[in-house]
Formats: sequence, structure tokens, C-alpha cells
Amino acid sequence: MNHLIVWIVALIVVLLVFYGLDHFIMSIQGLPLNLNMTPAG
Amino acid sequence: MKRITNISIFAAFILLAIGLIAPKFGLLEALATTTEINAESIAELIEISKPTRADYPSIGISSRSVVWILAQLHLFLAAFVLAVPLFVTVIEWLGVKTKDDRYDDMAHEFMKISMTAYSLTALFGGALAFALFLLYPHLMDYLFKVFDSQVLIYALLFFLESAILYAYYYSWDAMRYGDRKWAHLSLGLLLNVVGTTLLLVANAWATFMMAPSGVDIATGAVTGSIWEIMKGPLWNPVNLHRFIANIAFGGAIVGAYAAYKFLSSRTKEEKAHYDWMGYTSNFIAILAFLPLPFAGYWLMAEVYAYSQQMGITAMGGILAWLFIVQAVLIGTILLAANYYLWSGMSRVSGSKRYQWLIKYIAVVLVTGFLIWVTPHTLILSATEVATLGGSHHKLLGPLGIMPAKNIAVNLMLIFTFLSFQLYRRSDKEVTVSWENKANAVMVVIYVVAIANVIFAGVYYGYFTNTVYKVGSSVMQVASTLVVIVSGIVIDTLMFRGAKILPSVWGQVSTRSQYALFALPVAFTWLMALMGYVRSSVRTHWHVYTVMKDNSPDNYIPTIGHAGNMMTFATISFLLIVLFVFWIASLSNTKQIKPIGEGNA
Repeated sequence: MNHLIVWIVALIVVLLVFYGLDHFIMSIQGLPLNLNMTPAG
Repeated sequence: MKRITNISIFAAFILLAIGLIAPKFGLLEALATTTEINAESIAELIEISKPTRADYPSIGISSRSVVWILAQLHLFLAAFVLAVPLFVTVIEWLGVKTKDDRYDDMAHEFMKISMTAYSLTALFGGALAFALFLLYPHLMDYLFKVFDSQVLIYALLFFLESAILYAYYYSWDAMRYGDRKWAHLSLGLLLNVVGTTLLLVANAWATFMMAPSGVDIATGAVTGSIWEIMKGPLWNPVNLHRFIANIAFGGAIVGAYAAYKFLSSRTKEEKAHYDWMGYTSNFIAILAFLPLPFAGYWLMAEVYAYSQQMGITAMGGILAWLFIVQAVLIGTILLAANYYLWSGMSRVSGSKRYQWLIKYIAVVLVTGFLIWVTPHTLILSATEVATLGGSHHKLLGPLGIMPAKNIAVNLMLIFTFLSFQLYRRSDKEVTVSWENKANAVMVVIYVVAIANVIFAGVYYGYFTNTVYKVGSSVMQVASTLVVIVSGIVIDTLMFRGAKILPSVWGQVSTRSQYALFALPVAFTWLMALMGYVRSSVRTHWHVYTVMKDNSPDNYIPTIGHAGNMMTFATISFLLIVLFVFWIASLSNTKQIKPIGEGNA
């Protein structure tokens, strides 16, 4: 059970990091994204 | 106390290095005032910058071909001799840090190879200068008027480079231990500072010809300071790209030397030494190669930003097909490097844990390679177009454009790093308690990064507008870099105090050594190819939009002709490399005194 929790937590954290990274990288290029990742510009 | 003394000596040399560079920048600041333009100098520059066909001397063969080959050979050799001291100093420092003499011996041997190549670099540089002055006198006259006394700084740097290089190499054994070693390391640092500055100065000439700055476009008159002339829009992208590429190239060449020595070794000890040397060379070459495509992206982005026409000439016009050849060569490099790593796993019994993954990595690499080499358009006859159902194949057409290729390239890089990581993990057994958590994070980073690369490529590449398509390639690059950086960080932390499993150096297949030969061949060809593209984007201009090329060669040659020229340069360089290897081996060879021969 502990093992599974480790994997789920790791997945959630890494997904959030990449999600934030994508928004950050696109916004610094002047290409903002909506929350669902579609182009906001 | 002793440590403080060592650090003081090291710091003193760093300060000396900075001191040598600082006046240069001081000089640049002093020169940063705008040059006063007078009518006489403008008239002179207009005259020089507009040569007619009759102004070009002819020696009976194509002037461009002569300069092309000499410049390419000079560049190959210069890239090699500037790169080797960069990683040699790091390896020497590793020797000091780990107190393992093998590092020091290997660094010394790397330098020995580079020393032979150094004089050849200067000879080709001299020959290139003579050829340029003879065959393109107006261009050289113009460039000398623009860069003015900066060329003397280049000459001064060259003298410094030679002096420090010889001092560094020949003092190796005399300054091998204790405080003297720190002084020797500082010499290495100084050598690299001067060498890199030389590279930056020479790059400024090339990038000025591509994207001139600090001059009046209409008249060619100098309007800015030498600093404004140097720091054109393409200078820093080329600086970064060449700096990284040189290290990868240098690593590949010394890797071939190690393979050559491995194959000709007679004893187990020699085989073990050269196997380790080959592994280190491959490590340097590939580690430097992984971020190279991203430096290339930046360069091309700046080319497009400077002139869309120039960008389209490179990637959408006659030169576009060369990018397919580039894909073949880079694919060769990645396949050879991965194959070498997989073969090298046979040295370590602990590698059995990871060998099952190799086939999956191979599938991704080959698939990525095939997508990368898929052309967007084909040269087809009317019948073939009819058979295909149009000029683009309905399935393969979408694979011919950048989004598909970006996915392929990034996945190939991620999986090459995976090979690396597995190899480095093979000889270690982790002892930290948080191993499972770290491995879970690492695996998840791989999975999410791969998903992100594919999502960005497919969604933004095919279903949004061009601006988002281009912007999303940065997302892909960032994903790949996250994998590489986090992999290095996690492994470094996790393997502290790890149990090291035995490795048998020298226990590697002969086939793997041929992979080490494949690397410099592909790297050299790649440099010839992309160097040609970089230079050709100027089309019929010596200095883009400022000085027209009116020579008989003022056109982009056919791809076949360019291919032959690149191949000729590549083969010539490889023959020179063989000569360099032979000379380097010769210095270790001693003839046994014949029996019965006296001292008289």
C-alpha cells in the first residue's frame, strides 16, 4: 500500500511540475494557455 | 594551511586569467564610441565593397573550392585543438580530486594527440589566409577595414595560446604533485580562457558576414564601434553552438584514437587502459552532444528573427534537403553511441538488471530515426504523383514536417540519456533507504516528459496556429532537459556511498570499437554539412546585404557538388587524423639497440 502511495504522489507532483512548466514556458514567449492547455491568445 | 595555499595559488591564476581578459573588455569599452564617418572613408569603403567580376584573380580552378577546402580543414583542426584542453583540464582536476593517477595519465595522453594537431591547425590557418588574400583581395580589404586593429588582438591571442599550450603540455610531469599541480591546473584554465576567446573572435568574423552590424548597409561604411560590429544578432548563438559542438567533436576524435589503440593493444593492461579511455571519450562526446540540438534551435530561431528570407533559404529552399542528410548523420551518431553503451554493459555483471530495456530503447531510436529522415516533399514524376495520390503521401506527409521531427528528436535524446543512465547504474548497488522513492520519481519524470513531448508536438503542431506550433517546441526542449538534469541530480545523490560492483575494463567486444570509429566520421561529415549550410545562407553576398559576391562562383552549387566537396573535406581530415594518431603513437616507440653496435 505504501509503495502504491509513493508512486501516486510522485505522479501527481511530477504532473503538476510539468503542467506549471508548460504554462510558464509558453507565457514567457507571449503565448498564454488556458487552464485546459488550449491557446488563450 | 596547505589547502589554503593551494587554493590561493589557484585563485591567483584565475585572477590572472581575468586580468588578461579584462583589458580586452576595457579596450572594447574604450572603442565603444561611434566612429566618426567622413566622406573620404565612405567613398573608399563603397569602392572596396563593390568589386566587379574583373577584380577577382583567377588561378585556373574555382577560387571558392580552394577556400572551401582550406577553411573546412582549418576549422576541423581548430575545433579539435580548442576542445581537447577543455575536457583535459576537467579530467586532470578529477585526478587531483580522486587522487587516481589514471585520470592524470589519460588527460596527458589526450593532450599528446592534440599537440600534433596544433601545428597542422596553424599551417591550414596560414594557407587559408594566403588563399583569401590572393583570391578575394577586396573582401579581405573590406573586412580588415571593418575589424581594424581587432585582428592584431587575434594574433596576440594566438601567440598566448601557443605559449600556454606548450607550457601546459611540457610541464605536465614537472608539475605533477602538490602545489605545483594546482599551478599546472591554473595553466590549463588559462589556456582554455585564451582558446575560447580566440573562438569568439573568429566567430565574430563569420557572423558579421552573415548578419552584419555596426556598418551602414547601403554604403558599407563603419558606423559603430568594434564591439557593435562583433556583437551581431548571430554571434552568441554561434558561440554557444560551436563551443558545445567542439567538445563533442573533440571527444569523438580522441575516442577513435582510444579505439585504434585498443584494437592494436597486445596486453590486457593496455586493452583495459584504452577501453576506459574510449568509454570516457564517448561519455564526453555524447554528454556535449545531447544539448547541441537545442543550441541549433536557438541559432535557427535567431536566423529567422534576423531575416526570414535567410531562414527560408536554409530550411525551406534549396538547402532544406541537407537537413534530411543531417538527420541521417545525427541518427548515425545516436545509434552508434547507444550501441557502444549497450556493448559496454558486458564489462559489468550488474548490467543484467537493465539489459531487458535495451530492445525497447532500440525500437524508439530506430522509429525516431525513420521519422526524422522522412522528407516533406519528394521529387516525383507525374506518374509517381498519380500513384501516390498527390505530392504528399497521406500517411508519411505529416511525418515530414517539424512537429513530427521535434517529437522524434526529443524522444531519441531522452532514450539516449536513458542508455547513459542505465550504463552508469550498472556497476552500482544503492545503499540509501529512499531508493524506491527516488526511482519512482525518476520513472514518473521519464513517463510524463515523454507524454509531454508527444502532446506538445501533436496538439500544438497539428491542431493550433503556427505561432503556438513553434512556441511548443520550447516546451519539448524543456521536458528533455528536465529528464537529463533530474537524472544527473537523482543519481548523484542516490549513489553516494553506493556499493561499487566490479567492472572488467578491456572486456568489451571488438564491434563496439567500430562504433567509436563511426562517431568521428559522422561528426566530421555533419560539421562539413551544417557549416556549408551556415555559410551558404548568404547566397550571392560576401557580407549579407552589404557586399555582393561578383565572383564567378556567386551562386549556391548543386547539392551533388556540395556533397562531393564536403565528402572530400571529410576524407581529407580523416586521413590527417590517422596521420596524427600515427605520430602520437610514434613518440612511444623505441628502437631496440642492435646487438654488437658500439657507442662510438
